[in-house]
Amino acid sequence: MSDPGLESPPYTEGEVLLSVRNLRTRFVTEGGDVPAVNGVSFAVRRGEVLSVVGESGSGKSVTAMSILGLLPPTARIEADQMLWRGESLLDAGEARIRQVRGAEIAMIFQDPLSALNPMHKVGRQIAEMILIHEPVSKKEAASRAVEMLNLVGIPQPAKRAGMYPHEFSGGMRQRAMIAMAIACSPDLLIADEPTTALDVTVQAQVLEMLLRLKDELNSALMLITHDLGVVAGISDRVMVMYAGRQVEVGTTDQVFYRTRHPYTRSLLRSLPRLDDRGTDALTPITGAPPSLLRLPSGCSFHPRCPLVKERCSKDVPDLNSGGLGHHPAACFYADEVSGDTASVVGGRS
Amino acid sequence: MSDEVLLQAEHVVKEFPVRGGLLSRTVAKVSAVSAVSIEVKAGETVGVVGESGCGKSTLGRVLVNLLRPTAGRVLFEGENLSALKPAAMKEKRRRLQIVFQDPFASLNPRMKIGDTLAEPLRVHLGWKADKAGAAVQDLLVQVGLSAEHANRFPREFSGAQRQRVGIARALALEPSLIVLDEPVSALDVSVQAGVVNLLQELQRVRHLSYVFLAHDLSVVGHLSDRVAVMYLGKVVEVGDRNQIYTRAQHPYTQSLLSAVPIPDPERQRSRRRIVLEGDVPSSVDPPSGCRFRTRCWKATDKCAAEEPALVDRGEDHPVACHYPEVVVALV
Ligand SMILES: Nc1ncnc2c1ncn2[C@@H]1O[C@H](COP(=O)(O)OP(=O)(O)OP(=O)(O)O)[C@@H](O)[C@H]1O
Ligand SMILES: Nc1ncnc2c1ncn2[C@@H]1O[C@H](COP(=O)(O)OP(=O)(O)O)[C@@H](O)[C@H]1O
Ligand code: SF4
Ligand code: SF4
Ligand SMILES: [Mg+2]
Ligand SMILES: [Mg+2]
Repeated sequence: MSDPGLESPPYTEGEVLLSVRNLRTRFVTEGGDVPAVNGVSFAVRRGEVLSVVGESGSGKSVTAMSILGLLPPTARIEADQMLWRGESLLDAGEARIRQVRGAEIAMIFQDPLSALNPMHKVGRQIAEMILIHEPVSKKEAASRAVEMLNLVGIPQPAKRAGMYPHEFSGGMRQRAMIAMAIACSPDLLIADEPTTALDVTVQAQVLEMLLRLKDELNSALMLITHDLGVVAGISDRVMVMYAGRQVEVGTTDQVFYRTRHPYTRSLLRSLPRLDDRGTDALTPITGAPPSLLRLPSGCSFHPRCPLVKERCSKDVPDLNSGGLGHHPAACFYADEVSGDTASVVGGRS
Repeated sequence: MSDEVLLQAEHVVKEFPVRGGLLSRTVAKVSAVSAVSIEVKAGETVGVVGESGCGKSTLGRVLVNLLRPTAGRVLFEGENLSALKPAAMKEKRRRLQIVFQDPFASLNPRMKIGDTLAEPLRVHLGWKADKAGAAVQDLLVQVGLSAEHANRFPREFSGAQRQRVGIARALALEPSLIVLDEPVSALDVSVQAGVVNLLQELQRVRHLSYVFLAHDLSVVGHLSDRVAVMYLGKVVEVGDRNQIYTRAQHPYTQSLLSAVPIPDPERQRSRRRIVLEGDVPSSVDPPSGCRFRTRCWKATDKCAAEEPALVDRGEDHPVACHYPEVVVALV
């Protein structure tokens, strides 16, 4: 079966670092199985920024954590394929996964305190990360830690290395966590809502820094966010998720200017923009995101979709349903979506 | 909108003690709000923007007299709120309401929504259960819920529905002014727009005034007639919506605008970027002179020595900066 999420037009010619095919992750709970991720496929190439965007609960974090084996024991992860630089992560042992995690794929979280130990000095934590993965002396590791703090723009890095996480401001903690994540020069950085808790001026600093680090390390960045503005500014490619499924995958310009999924289009129309004149009423999406325990039949978006037709509550669309010759969209009527999107984005200046 | 001034804050200061040491004595004070003056006319929306900790919520609570100002005063319908006797304040309270950021924390989890909404009608207006009940059903419909929702508990509602309940509660007593403290920040983007539209519609129908406190400049710009920008407890710039969004003169306002992502890739590529260094300093020990100077790219010795006053240079667009100027292509 062809897998459009995986084979959608690559943005770079870079090496395929990660490729995931048909990932399904569910949680076993008392209320029943929660299908948090339902058949997600994608690839990340060296050099690119892939954004994963969707509302809270759409399965963004679970997708990332499934790859890194960071989920609780109630999680059941299945996939047809999960390759890290050609090596199957599904078949790798716990020890190998631990090695990949941190040294080859590093993760940055929304809440830096979840990754930093409050009892240890920041410099020591970064040095330990290096010592776990690399055969260097303690002294070398300590000086690399200071170098990393400097790289992420922390002033007086040598002095700061000797301080505890609570002595840092929110933005500095986020930078310290990033310093720890990049300490072993990972090939892929997965950042899960790295700026959601930060003020916009600090968000701008952190995003700029992530882009710079990606280039300096010659790596790739997978950015998870709910903010379409952040996506527009930073990504090469975008994957839009809704209720555990991918609904649209394409280059940033394709997704914003040649939108093919009604959910993506509705999201873009519902946002107030800094550059609109504040006169037009916004177009809200009716209803609310569904509970995963009671997913609507057929297309999960059908109860909220402005284009819904009879077929939508019967058949489940996949990324091929939008038809050939376009970027992938999981909608039977994708052709009706494109066309008037230009008046949504770009038409408001 | 009319010229009648409904609410007026004059040089409002709010300080909180910082306790420390063994005896938890007051060791310092935080100036959460420092000499803020704003004016709200009937039917108008005044937006207040600024980053976390700049004093928005504190100002909001002072404006509705839930906190007493350390200095300065708030006049509502011409009367100084902190000088009012409880009975007179109770009377004013009907027309001066607040909606809080977290709609869940502000609803009693053990009370049915209908009872929560009927409470102000019984307490303030002395209405009997049946009359209040009918009014509650009306209110629910007005905020886009349905009459049956009256029998449900808060946990049975989504975030956006709870926020609508919070708005319904504020509306129950027919207020003339509502302070909205981050009313849509906790909501998913797809449902935010519905609440924003509801607020606009209610304002139109009921001729309400709003003070809209939020960190999201896109939402504030969408709803506000006038906007005040706060930094570390001070208003640094005030103007009408277009003055602030297209002709900002304060470096902080400019950096805020330039940092807000716009969901339009080409726009993002062509905008001018101002990336500030460092974080917001602590409000316990704010910088001398201009409070923004530790992050300002234009700061001079004068900025450290002399605090810039909020001066109107003739366009009804006051700016607190020694070197105000317009920068293009921020948005
Ligand atoms: N009760 C209190 N005691 C001590 N300090 C307080 C108190 N309430 C607020 N502050 C301080 O006053 C300042 C302003 O806080 P406030 O909550 O008004 O900010 P805000 O602009 O609403 O921020 P946010 O965007 O995070 O909601 C902060 O430094 C805060 O820590
Ligand atoms: N440990 C867990 N047990 C049960 N359900 C979970 C667990 N972790 C996540 N989920 C559910 O999986 C879905 C996707 O979650 P998540 O990936 O965290 O969403 P987001 O897109 O906001 O990152 C949500 O419905 C969430 O409630
Ligand atoms: S498949 Fe049908 S319901 Fe689903 S997005 Fe397309 S038109 Fe809407
Ligand atoms: S007064 Fe000086 S430091 Fe303050 S904003 Fe103006 S130029 Fe910057
Ligand atoms: Mg998440
Ligand atoms: Mg607040």
